[in-house]
Formats: sequence, C-alpha cells, structure tokens
Amino acid sequence: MPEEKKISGWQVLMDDISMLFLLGVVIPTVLYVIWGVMEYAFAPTFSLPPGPTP
Amino acid sequence: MASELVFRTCPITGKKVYAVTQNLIWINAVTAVVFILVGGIMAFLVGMTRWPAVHLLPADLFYRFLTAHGLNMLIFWIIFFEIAGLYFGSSVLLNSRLAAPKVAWLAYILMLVGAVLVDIMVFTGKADVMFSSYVPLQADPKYYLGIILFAVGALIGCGIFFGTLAIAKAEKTYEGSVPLVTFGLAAAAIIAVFTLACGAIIYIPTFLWSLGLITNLDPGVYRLIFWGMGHSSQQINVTAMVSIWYLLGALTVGAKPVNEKICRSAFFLYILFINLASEHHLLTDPTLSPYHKMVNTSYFMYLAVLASMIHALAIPMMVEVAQRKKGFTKGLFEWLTKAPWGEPGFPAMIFSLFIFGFIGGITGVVYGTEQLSIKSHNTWAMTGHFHATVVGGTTLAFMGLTYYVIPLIFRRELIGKKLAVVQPYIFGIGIILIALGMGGAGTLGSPRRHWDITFAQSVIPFSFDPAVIFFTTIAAIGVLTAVTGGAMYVGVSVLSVFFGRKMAANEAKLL
Repeated sequence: MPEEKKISGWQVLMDDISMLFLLGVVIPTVLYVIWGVMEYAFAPTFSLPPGPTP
Repeated sequence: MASELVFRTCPITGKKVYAVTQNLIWINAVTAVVFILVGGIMAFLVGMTRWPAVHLLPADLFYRFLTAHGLNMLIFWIIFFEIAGLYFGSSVLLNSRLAAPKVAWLAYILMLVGAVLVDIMVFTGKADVMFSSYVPLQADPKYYLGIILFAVGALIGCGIFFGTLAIAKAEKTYEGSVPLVTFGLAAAAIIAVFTLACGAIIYIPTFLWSLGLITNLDPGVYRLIFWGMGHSSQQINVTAMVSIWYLLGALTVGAKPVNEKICRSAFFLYILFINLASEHHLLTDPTLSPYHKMVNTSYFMYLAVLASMIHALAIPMMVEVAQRKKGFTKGLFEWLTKAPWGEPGFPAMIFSLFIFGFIGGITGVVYGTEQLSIKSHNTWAMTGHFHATVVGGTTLAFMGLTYYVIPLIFRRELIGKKLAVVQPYIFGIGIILIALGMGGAGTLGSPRRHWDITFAQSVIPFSFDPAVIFFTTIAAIGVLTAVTGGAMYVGVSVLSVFFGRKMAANEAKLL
C-alpha cells in the first residue's frame, strides 16, 4: 500500500502559480520601481545661478 | 506535432524524456558552457592584472575584458544554463511534453544572437561601459540591441516553462503538487520575469538614446531600473541554485525535505521579497529617500534572508535524515563523514551551500545595511561578496548538477570521472580564496574595478596598507586555482557530451 500523503491547504495555495506570478511581479514593481521612479520624478531640482559657469 | 511527442523512458528515474526537450536542454547547456569558457578566460586575464606582481593587461584591455567577464559569467553562462534547467524542471520532472518547442528554439536563437552581438561589440572596443553600462557612458547601439534580444529570448523561455506547467496540469501528467524542485524553478522563473522586464524597460530607451532618438536619459532612473535587472538576475540564480541543492540532495543521498510546507514557504518569501534587494546598489544614492531604502532593504528584504536561512537549515537536515535512515547514526557526525564525498554532486552541493551561506550570504546581509554600504560599496569587498554567492554558490551547484545531467539526459558516460570528483574541491577552494582575498583587501580600502592598485602613474603618490598586497595575492592564487577547476569542468563536460560512450537505452547507470 503506498503511503497516502495529505496535502495542506497552504500547499495547494502555493501551487497556484498564477497567483504567485501576480504577487511576484506586482510587489517589487510597486515597492521598488514605481515608488523609486516617483522619488526621482519629484526630487527637488537645483538651478545654477545666472552668470558664467564657475 | 508527432515528432514533438517522441519520448524515451529514463531507466533510472522512470520519467519520460521527450526528444525535443532533450535537444533543447542539450543546446542551452552546451551554449552555457561555451560562455563560461569565454568568461573564465577573461577571469584569468583580469585576475592576473589585478595582481600587482603580474599586472598583465594594459588599462584599456583590462576594462574591456572585465566588461566581457561580467556579461559572460553573470548573464550568458547562468541564464542559458537556467533555461536548460527550466525545461528539465517542467517537461522532464512533470513527465510532460514541452509547450511550443518551435518557439523555444526561437527563444534560443534570440538569446544566442543577442549574446554573440554583445560579445562582438565588447571585444571590438565598441562597448567599454562595464557590466552596469551606466549612462551617460554610451556604447554602440548594437550592444544594447544584443541585450534586448537576449532578454526577450530568455523571457520567451520563461513563457515556455509556464506553458509546460499548464499543459502538465491540464493533461494530469503528475499527481498532487508539483515537485519541490519544479516549484523552486517556478519561483526562479517568476523572479526572472520581473528581472527581464526591467531589462527591457531600461534597455529599450537606452538603445533609442544611443541612436540619438532620445536626447535625455536620467542617470538616476537608469540606475534604479538597471539594478532591477542587474541584481535581480542574481536572485534568479539564488533561487535556481537552492532548487538544485534539493535536487542534488535527492540524487546523491536520496534525501527528501523533512517538511515541504516550510521549504515551499521559503520559496514563497523569495517570490515576494527577494527582488527588493536591488535597492542595495542605491543605498548611497542621495536622491532616494530613507523610507524607500529602509522599506526595501531593511524590512522586506530580511524576509528573503529568512527564507535563505530556512533553506540553509532544511537542506543539511534532509541530508542528515537520509543518511541516518541508512544507518549512519554513530555520534553527531557519522552521517556527514560517511556521505558520498567521492561523488562530484555531493561536495559540489556542500561547498556551494557553505560558500554561499557563510561567505556570500553573511557578507551580503552586512554590506546591505546603509551605514556599511557607504563604506564598502565601491571596494573589492563587494566583489568578494558576489563571487561567493554567484560563483561559489550558483556556478558550483550548476557544475555539480552537470555531472548527473550528462548521463541522465544526454545519455553519455562521463569521461574523466576522477577529474569530475576532484573538480568541485579545486574550484570551491579557489573561490573561497578569491572571496576572502577580495574581502580582506576591500575592507582595507582596495577599490573594485581598478586597473592598478599601486597607483604607479598617479600624480599624487599613494599606497595602501601592505596587507592589501597580501590579500590581493591570496585572491590571485584563488583565481589560478578556480580557473584550473573551471577548466577541468569545461574539459570533462565538453569531452563527455561529444565523445563520451553512448549509453544503452536500458542502461541504469548514473556515475
């Protein structure tokens, strides 16, 4: 008799590759890329004073 | 269609090996070995230039070959091998036909054309921009085009992997959950999609900029998105490497994870958080706020570190349990001393685990803090860190697996088995010396990406602590040792693949 394996609900959830794919792409895109680009976009700019460049 | 369904049954594992999958694994793995050969030659030349006692190359060739070394090793060798691994982990392990084999060949051709184009540009001096190719440094447009082609090809390869998973599920070629190794490779493929998408997002405008079609490209935004590719590509490696550790544990001592739920949860943490480590490259960037830096590296990134710690405990534990079940129960360590140290896969796995965890992992966590990043980021210590993770960890694990793939998938007997057994030791010791030498010299201030640390031609004389030369020499000895180990790997694998005895269809011999 082969030993019966009980698969947990968590493991079934882990097998949902589409959901994992979505989370794996969305989290770094939001936290790292979009947030980072926004910080660069809204960084205060500095203008050189008029006159000859030192 | 019919030719795509031709398969043989592996006499060792009982798995179906489809002919088209076998050919695609073969071509991707062999191409990977060609690129490690190119990268390895560059490693020797660059290493011998960093060593003041030899100082082999002139400055221009040093930076050119360093660019080639980074691209061939970090991107081409590893991603070609990983694509082979993805086809193995989906089609072979799940007993399934491969999704769209013709598209998989197209992916391979795109990757090959891209990689060759990049190498031509670098070696002809049209892309002396280092691995990171920071703007406003500008290369020939064909360099960026090559990287885009490579990234698109690799993305298609990931798509083939996901398609094969879907086919296997629909056609019920396996029961229950996918095997842990396949799950780990799925995690690697998900990480790869984000990685390669970042590559496409940043290299397409950079390509247009190099053509003069875009006049302004923000260097800060470039760095941000480039490292979404540059660092995350190493996270693909980490995840694939851990999957291979589980596979090598099974192949060498018949080990199974003690608790699969924990192992899968650790891979889940990788999927969610490991790509945020790209922020490490921006910790010294004054534009990004402390909030962005802390959330990415100090909070969420540590959840991925936790995952690595789980794997680091789970893998030795499964090996110990498997060995104890075989009766190696005397004392605390008989399970370890009686392990198959004479098979190439076992020392490759243990060295890889040790070097990655104790040298690469710990230094990565330490240097990944903002305060220490400021001090260490542009030193050779950082180079030591990633040689421990990517070379000592990933490359060594891939090398160990190759010795099993050759008889299992390519059905060729290994030529030079004794060399194959010794090779992981030589390569592993070489990488340990490289990582420690670079780490020691870098901690004392030796810069990374530097042609002459003696500053012989400098207007203002400068010299480091003499210990820097000592550590640099240690690293150089490590380079010579690791290059020897690398040459042994290339020799054994190439000779075996092309000239090894063809194994009979029912021959159930692994090594």
